[in-house]
Amino acid sequence: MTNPVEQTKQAIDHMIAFVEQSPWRANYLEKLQSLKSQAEQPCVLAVAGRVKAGKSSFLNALLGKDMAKVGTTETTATINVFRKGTAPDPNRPVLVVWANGQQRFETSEFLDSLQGNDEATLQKAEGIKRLEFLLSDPIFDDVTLVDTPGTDAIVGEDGEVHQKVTEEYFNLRQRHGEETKEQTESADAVIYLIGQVANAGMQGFLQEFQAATNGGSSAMNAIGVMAKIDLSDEIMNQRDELASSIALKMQHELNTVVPVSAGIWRALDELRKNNKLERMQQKLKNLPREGFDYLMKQERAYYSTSSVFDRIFSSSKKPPISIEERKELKGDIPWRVFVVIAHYLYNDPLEEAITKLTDISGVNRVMDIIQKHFFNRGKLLRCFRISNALRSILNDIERNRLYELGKEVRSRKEFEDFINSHPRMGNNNATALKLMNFLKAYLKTEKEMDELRVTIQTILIPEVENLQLKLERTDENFRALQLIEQNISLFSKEEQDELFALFGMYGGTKEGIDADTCGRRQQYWNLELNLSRSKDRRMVARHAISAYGYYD
Amino acid sequence: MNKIGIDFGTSFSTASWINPKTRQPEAITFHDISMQKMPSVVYYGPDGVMVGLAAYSQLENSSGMKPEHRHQILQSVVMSIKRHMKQGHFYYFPGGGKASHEEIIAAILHKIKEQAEIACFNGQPVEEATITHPVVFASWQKEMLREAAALAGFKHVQLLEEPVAAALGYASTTSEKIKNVLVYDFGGGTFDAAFVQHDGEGQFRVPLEPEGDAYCGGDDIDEALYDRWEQVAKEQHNRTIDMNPNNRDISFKVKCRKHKEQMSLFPKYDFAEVLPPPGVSWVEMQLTRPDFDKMVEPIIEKTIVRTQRLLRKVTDSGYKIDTAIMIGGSSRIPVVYEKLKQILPVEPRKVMQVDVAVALGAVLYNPDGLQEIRHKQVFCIYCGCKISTADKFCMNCGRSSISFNATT
Repeated sequence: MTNPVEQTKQAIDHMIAFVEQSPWRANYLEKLQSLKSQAEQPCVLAVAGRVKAGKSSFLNALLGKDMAKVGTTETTATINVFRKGTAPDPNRPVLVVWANGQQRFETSEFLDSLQGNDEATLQKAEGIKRLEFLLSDPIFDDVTLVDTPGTDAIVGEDGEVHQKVTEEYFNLRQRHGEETKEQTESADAVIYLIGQVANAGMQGFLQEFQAATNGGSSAMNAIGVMAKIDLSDEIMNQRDELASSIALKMQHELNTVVPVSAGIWRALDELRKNNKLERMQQKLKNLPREGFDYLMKQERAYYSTSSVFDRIFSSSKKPPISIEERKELKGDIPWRVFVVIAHYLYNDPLEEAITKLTDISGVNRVMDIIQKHFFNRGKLLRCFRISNALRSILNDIERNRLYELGKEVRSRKEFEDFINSHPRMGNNNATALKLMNFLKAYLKTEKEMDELRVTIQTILIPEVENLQLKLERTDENFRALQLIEQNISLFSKEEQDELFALFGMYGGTKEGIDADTCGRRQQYWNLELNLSRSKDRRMVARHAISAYGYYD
Repeated sequence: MNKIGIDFGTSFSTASWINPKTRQPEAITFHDISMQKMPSVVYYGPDGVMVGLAAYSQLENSSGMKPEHRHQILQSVVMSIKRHMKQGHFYYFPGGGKASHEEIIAAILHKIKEQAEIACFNGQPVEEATITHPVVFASWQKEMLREAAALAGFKHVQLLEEPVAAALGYASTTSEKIKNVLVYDFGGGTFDAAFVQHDGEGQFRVPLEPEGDAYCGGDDIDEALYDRWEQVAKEQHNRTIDMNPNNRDISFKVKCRKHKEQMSLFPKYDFAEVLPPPGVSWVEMQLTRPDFDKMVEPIIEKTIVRTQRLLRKVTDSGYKIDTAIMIGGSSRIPVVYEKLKQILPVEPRKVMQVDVAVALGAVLYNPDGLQEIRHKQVFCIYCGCKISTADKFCMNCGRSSISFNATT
């Protein structure tokens, strides 16, 4: 399928071009233009995570932008939306949407007054529905970011439970829970971010994710991110095992779980920008194996002289590395991040090391999953809604406007006949001429009407119907997946695997299934359609029959 | 040329012809089953294709069969094809057979054609048909209907929107002028509400997008009754209707349909049924009309909400309703009438033949209705010149559109 978003925009453009030339410009132009802007709207990405989960550094890595530099200040007690736009007054850059529906632009001083966790601030935050930051950075052409405080937001700095358990605190917390749910349900993609975990084992992460999603997430649009995996060697070493076992345990709440190190991403990015990677590798490779291992064991050892280290060097022929050189090499990279990077640079050729490190940082993987599984689908579903709106407009034109025009055309004909045949108005009569010109200016002829009709029926309607048909399949697959997700216990493990692949979740497709298998599986689901007691299961069977019925 | 009207429905199809003796449209009673409603079901078995009641009976009788045989039958049946029709799609059947959606629809249309020829036309071929379709059908869906009709052997086919057919059919049964009609069509599988307007020039049209629910019909009421029986079976025998708790017994569901029909006739009824094999276990249940009404409430309510939405659209667009008709088998349920009465600006009319109302209108349809109007010769009241009602102005004096009838 050619890009359906482009196809949708094209269909809208064709309709706009048609309507502009038609007698119905005033009726539809505005609506069509608003549809067009909807088609171009960015996808919504919501991020939910606890304070200090490493959200800002993760977002910086994900979006490739320093969010603080593009003009955002974090407030911890509100829902923050970052989207494309320009504030009318640059001194009042933030749109505050109050819970009572009022909207006002405010200054950055106002934002400062929202920092902190004291009672007064919380009270103030309670009246705010969300803050909207209107930004001009091109990254926001494609994505609108919703930063939600999550369901467990008002935990003090560094995860300490807030001391004053006030009424405001409870109200705010409850409302945040509801609003986060509202925001995440309408978002195209949601990331649940978990940072440091006290009990770093599988159980600890699982508990954190369960607390963060709070039963409100769905594998249809959510993924989990274990941030800051660089903080512990233990987690670092078994990150993939941890992630996949959590993903399995929460397969209906989260599409997948990705281990991420924004620290590695950022350091790598910085080092590459300054062309320091190669030099760093040369320096490190100069070290003998034991020397390298010794230095990397502990941060304290790295910065100090020791007899052990000297002994290692005296036995090798290589020149020792001075403490100054070591300091310069590490720079301001956090120690654990430095160890991981140094390790790969020491063991692998440069390109390979970069690839491996990028992979470990996990940032590209997150973006990939979001694009492939959520944004693309979100766009398709939005296009489907738009194509339905286009069809409605065409219906209205076909059923009503053309009908009214038909009446008009007939009366023009009657007038013309009358003028032509009236004995007192000859062909050259000035009044007759004036009347004829009037008719020409205000009423269409049959030929003109037929031209409009032909354009609508043979060009515009088939184009939109064609588009609808293509998008409908995506919509159907989406609904089938939703039904399975909601009734997961009605499907055996084998059925789940089959259907998830069939309806395209986790990137699966029907491709590679031969016609025979298609037929057999269709018969299986046709049997289920007639046998099963559950209406939802029958509905899924319906979708499966349809999906298997088309083989090309 | 022999002509019939066909209402190709999701659950049932009906047809009509114009009886030359009375010159009135009549529902066709299918010769082989002596019924006016034919299930829109096709069975592609090892020994050939069965359509309509024969195919439906296969389902109905399946629960007493051996599991392999039962499964083979359930895999060979196609139901509600209208709701799911798609171009280029196929059904595959046990034994290696396959059929395109067009072929499946053609099988149903062909059966209707064949039965009509026997029942009404002395075996003479019927080559012309008007087939109705939902207003929301896309052009490719209409094209599929045309293709299916051609496959079925029809030579001339016209398509007509269902509510328009209903309005046409209703208009033919009354001497009143029908102008602005709300059509409430509650069928076996689907619900549709549409506003139909007579344009004063011989044609009905649908100016507003209709409201509907593709998954709300009599079938859902059968399901609700089935669920009730499940409770009864649990209480009286501590088992599910089908011995497998995840399954539904399709034969027993057919019985539920009959129970539903009873509840439209009687204010109270004592039902007794035997549960499907193994064993012989009787289950008994008494239903009163209020019980039943309460049970079907959520389903009926869906149709009421849709109708209200349509009513709002009608008012917002400056139209008004002067007639409301109820058609479709499920509109027989008494509580439907009660509920509709509360929300409609006019008294809803119960149509005589709810099941075939659409088909009756279909056969009456004449796409050239516009030219059917006969203009009268009249005289201009100013100059007395002879003019036609087709003219808006007097051709002679040009002064007035007011005219008086010719006395001749």
